[in-house]
Amino acid sequence: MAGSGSAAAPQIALGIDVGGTFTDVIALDLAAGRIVASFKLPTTPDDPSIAAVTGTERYLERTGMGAGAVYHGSTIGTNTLIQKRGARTALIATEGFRDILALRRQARPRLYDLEPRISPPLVPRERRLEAHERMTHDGGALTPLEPAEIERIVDGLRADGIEAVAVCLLHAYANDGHEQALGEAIRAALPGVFVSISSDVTSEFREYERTSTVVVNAYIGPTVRDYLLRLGGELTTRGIPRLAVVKSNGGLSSAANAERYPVHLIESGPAAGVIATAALGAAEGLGELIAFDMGGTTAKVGVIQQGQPRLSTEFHADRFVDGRDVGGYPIKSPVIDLIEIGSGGGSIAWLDPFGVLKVGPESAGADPGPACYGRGGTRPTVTDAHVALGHIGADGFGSEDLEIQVDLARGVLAEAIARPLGWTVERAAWGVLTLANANMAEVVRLATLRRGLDPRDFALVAFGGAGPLHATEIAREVGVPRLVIPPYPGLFSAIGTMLGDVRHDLVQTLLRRTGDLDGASLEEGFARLEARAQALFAEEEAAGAPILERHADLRFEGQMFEKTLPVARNRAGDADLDGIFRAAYRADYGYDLPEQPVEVVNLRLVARRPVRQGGWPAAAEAERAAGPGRRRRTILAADGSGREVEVLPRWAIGEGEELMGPLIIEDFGATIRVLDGQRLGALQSGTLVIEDGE
Amino acid sequence: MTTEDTTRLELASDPVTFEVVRGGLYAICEEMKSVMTRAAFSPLLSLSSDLSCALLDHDGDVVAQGNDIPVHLGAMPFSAKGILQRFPLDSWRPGDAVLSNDPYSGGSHLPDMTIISPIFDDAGVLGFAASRVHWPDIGGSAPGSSAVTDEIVKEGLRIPPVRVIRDGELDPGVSTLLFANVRVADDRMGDFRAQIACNQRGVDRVGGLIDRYGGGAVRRILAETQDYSQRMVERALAELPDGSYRASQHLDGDGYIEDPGNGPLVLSVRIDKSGAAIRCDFAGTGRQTRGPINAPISVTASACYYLALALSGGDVPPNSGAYRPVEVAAPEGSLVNCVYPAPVVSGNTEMSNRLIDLMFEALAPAMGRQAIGGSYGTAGVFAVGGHDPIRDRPFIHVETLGGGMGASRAGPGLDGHRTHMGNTMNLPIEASEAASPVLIERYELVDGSGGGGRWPGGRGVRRVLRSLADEVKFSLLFERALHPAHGALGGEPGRVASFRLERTDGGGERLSSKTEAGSLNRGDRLLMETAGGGGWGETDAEDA
Repeated sequence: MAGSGSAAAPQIALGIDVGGTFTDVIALDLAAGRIVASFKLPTTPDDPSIAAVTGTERYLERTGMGAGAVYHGSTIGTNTLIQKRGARTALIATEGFRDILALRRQARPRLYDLEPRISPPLVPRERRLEAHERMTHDGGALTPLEPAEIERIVDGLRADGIEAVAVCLLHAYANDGHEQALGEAIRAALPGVFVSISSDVTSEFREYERTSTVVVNAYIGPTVRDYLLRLGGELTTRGIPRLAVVKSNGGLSSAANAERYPVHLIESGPAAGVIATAALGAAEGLGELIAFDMGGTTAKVGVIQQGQPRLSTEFHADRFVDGRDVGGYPIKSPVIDLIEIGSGGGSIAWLDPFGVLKVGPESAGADPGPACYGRGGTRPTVTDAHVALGHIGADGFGSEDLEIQVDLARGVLAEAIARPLGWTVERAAWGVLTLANANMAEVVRLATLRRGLDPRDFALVAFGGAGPLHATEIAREVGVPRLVIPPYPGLFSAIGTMLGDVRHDLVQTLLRRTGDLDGASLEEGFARLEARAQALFAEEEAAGAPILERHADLRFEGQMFEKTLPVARNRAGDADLDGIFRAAYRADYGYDLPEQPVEVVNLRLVARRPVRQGGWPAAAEAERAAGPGRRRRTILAADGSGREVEVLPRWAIGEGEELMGPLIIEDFGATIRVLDGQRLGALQSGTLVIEDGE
Repeated sequence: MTTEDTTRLELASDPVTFEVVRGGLYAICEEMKSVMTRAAFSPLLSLSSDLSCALLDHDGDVVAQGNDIPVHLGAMPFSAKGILQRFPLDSWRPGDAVLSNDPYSGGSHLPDMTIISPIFDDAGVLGFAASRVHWPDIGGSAPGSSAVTDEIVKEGLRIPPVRVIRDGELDPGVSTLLFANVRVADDRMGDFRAQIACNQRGVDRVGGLIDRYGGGAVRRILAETQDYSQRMVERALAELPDGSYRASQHLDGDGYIEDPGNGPLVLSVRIDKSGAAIRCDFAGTGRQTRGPINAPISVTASACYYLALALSGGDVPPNSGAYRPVEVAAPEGSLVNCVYPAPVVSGNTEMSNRLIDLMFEALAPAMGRQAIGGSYGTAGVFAVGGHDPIRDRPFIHVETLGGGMGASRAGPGLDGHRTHMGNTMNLPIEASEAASPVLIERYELVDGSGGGGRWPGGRGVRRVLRSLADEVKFSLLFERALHPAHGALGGEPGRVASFRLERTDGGGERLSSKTEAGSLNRGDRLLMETAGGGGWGETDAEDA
């Protein structure tokens, strides 16, 4: 098997994206810049590597070619956390502070709840040990950590079948000496135990968030390590030597670096779609973009400005359980800033006790899935509503493992919604879609208006299995003037896994006034981060030195929030930071506070190295030719009236051609609805553009 | 059962449009809040989110509100109605805004500044965008405007409803007067602008709904949204057995006096539950007192509204409709319906939380297995300030502390969190120590402080501070050092709070839960332990 195409192997990369419902595999010929094959398989939740390996085998068998690398968007970290299947973990904290993990920020996620549920600490109290030691905020050792104390703690860890240890001591960002000493002693005494120390994972102040981050890193560490080893091994035996993983920041990481910092992979899956959006935008010159990714279980919205995805430095993992906010686990890690809701094709429609129609947050998920899949789903979903109205045809998902059954969809809609309300099935289906669209339009507003951005300045890029079905109505609802449907919308995230840079983000808290910081100590701070970046890049396989970008988090003294601003590399004197911040503050708020000192909170370094050059990959010839030809289908309206609408395969639309809605475009893995009054055109890459008006 | 017929919400609106617009109204409130937090300067606003946003109908009733501070939101209709009394509907023009913070005109306490802005359709005022923001200072005798004093005039600037913006223009007379009477006026001006921008966003977004669906349809949905929440609360209340339920509790003190259980700081309630309605009657409650723990009627009503929402399972979209099944009767001039010139600044934090415990103790026989234990009963405000010799500048550190929540049938009470009427965050220790000459020696749960039972009450919090400077002033505003949180269904009471001072020379003293103007010298330690929550069920009982 592995031998058949070994000559071509290094030129072909596989992108594998594991979603909640489907695992997508796409093969890209790097030299030719062309997609050569793609596959869609049901996700295997118990061990996601099974679907990934099955998809790889399918590629190898069907094409007879090999591959040089797999780029992987993985949900293993987040699944381990959500399912609470992580390691038996211990935490070492400063004496007097072991309960920081349970005290959190002391606010409840839900207000009027007499039986509140809050994400339980991943380390129970009996495994939270205290070290007799204390650092001060300026790095002084107020209480030194004695060798006998280190020994006592190591002994305490032996007792208990511990698989992972997190170490987080107060002010370790200012002086990591005690953490390092503990880390070394534990590693030496307990080989095989996954040891994670806070100053290594994120050297940033704010003890609760840092503790939470390092605890998640340790908790998911052994599982992620084993998964990557297993998958890497399976790929190696099939002749594929390299495995790289998409990180939450949208960059790529070698498996070796990913194993050490699994917490940076938590948002790996969703990140790839935003990377693909940014890459498509750059290739086609699309300007400012909103990425709208809707799959079977969730919808996610991110923003791309000046070609870069908007990042956030903190997020809360596992925040919603059964649709309820339980607080989640804060993670300090640069992450593509995505708003996510539990609204997807699988979202269940239901009536509350007062007869009011609701959609979600409960989802039929991958199993049993929507009723129309014929796998035992008994409650109506958003997908069933589309099927009932004729939006999706019998082969609408492009997965050979799935067949759509219209009768089942109509049956559950009638049973659960139409009959109790005295409505027709069509009215019920229309109501379900209207509510689902309203929920998702609100998410787009959340990602733009609530961050001070005007959606009218953006184009919306819709992808994921269900994105293109909903995007035309959502764009109208929110007032986004231009809608973009990429080629392979159902596999867009899988393409994105191959388009990122190798990237590592590093941070160091400083907490110093700009006036107290000379150029030399600033340079020294960045130099330390650069040394760490070089060490990480030594574990990466791509050739060449990384590009280094310096940033600083700055604020007026006394403020609680910082602005992250780029720092010019050659002029990093103290006057610069002060000036950079004041200029940016004036630009944002219209005034300066000349008397107020400026504080440098954190130094940040972004180290990146591009992997792939060139424009958007061309579509496979086979895809262009595949699929049924033009035909007509009856679409039902809310009042039950039918209307014949033309159904086109995507590749029937040539570059420069313009068509008017209503139309249905069928593509591999997705269905696109073009509404009345919308104009459709195609770009060179096969990207479709939809705008209102003639 | 024909429950389907009795609970069905009869809508004049198209049901799908109703649900879309209703969801939009709540989202607008969250969007208003984001406008404020992005622009506000005060750490208090941007970090601990001590602010709330709402949309009101033309009667001043709340239609939708953000996921904000319960004590703010229950009080919102009182402020709005107070404002409408002074400014009737025909006096409003587009671009106006009215400001008020007067506890004797529907407000809660002086730092909470409410602004409402009118929304118009073709028929006139359709409703209002409203916001309530806790200002870090509103004048008065001490920085932070939360000192122990004996009359409201000493608590800060009292603002009855005044038209602060007319036709889009800030009234220079009002703003000059306002900013001459608060500390750090520049920051407050920034916060004030942010609050006005927040209201404007609400006005614009509802205007968009009016353009799209028409004023008549939106007005109908404003009313039906309240009906919907009302039905949800009524449905939950109907499941409780009818009857008359009583309880009585004492507060620790008012800053001037302590009440060990036989004093004047008594709270009494009788809750009459009949059908789908409850009436909370506070007859028998003590007279308003000299110190600032008195509650204006808006604060007392907020607590009763919280009770109704919590009894309904926590998922009812809060608005005035949800409050309709609740009637509040509070004797005028008492601790729970004080009259001028009683000081009120801590009624918001102390009285409001204790009223919740009081009412849940009373309702325990009606709630059966759903009864919950009492909670730590305070916002736990402590302030430390003075001159920082290390950085050579003045400093002030104000923070709230969590405590134990009562246990429930679902499990142990929440450990060390804010409970019931408040929801402010703690501050990072690493940030605090970098900004003030105070070392935090311990921040941990107090072992064994939750009341015993089948499920133990939530644990209280221990916070130990050591001063690194001389002549550092501190104040404490806590509760339950004398009166523990009650247990439910045979569960035991939680452990009481305790506050101590330890001097470097080995001397020490017990402190009252309300301590004003204490002093620390270098090396002195301040030990605070908040109360644990009450337990649930008897210890040996099986979970049936």
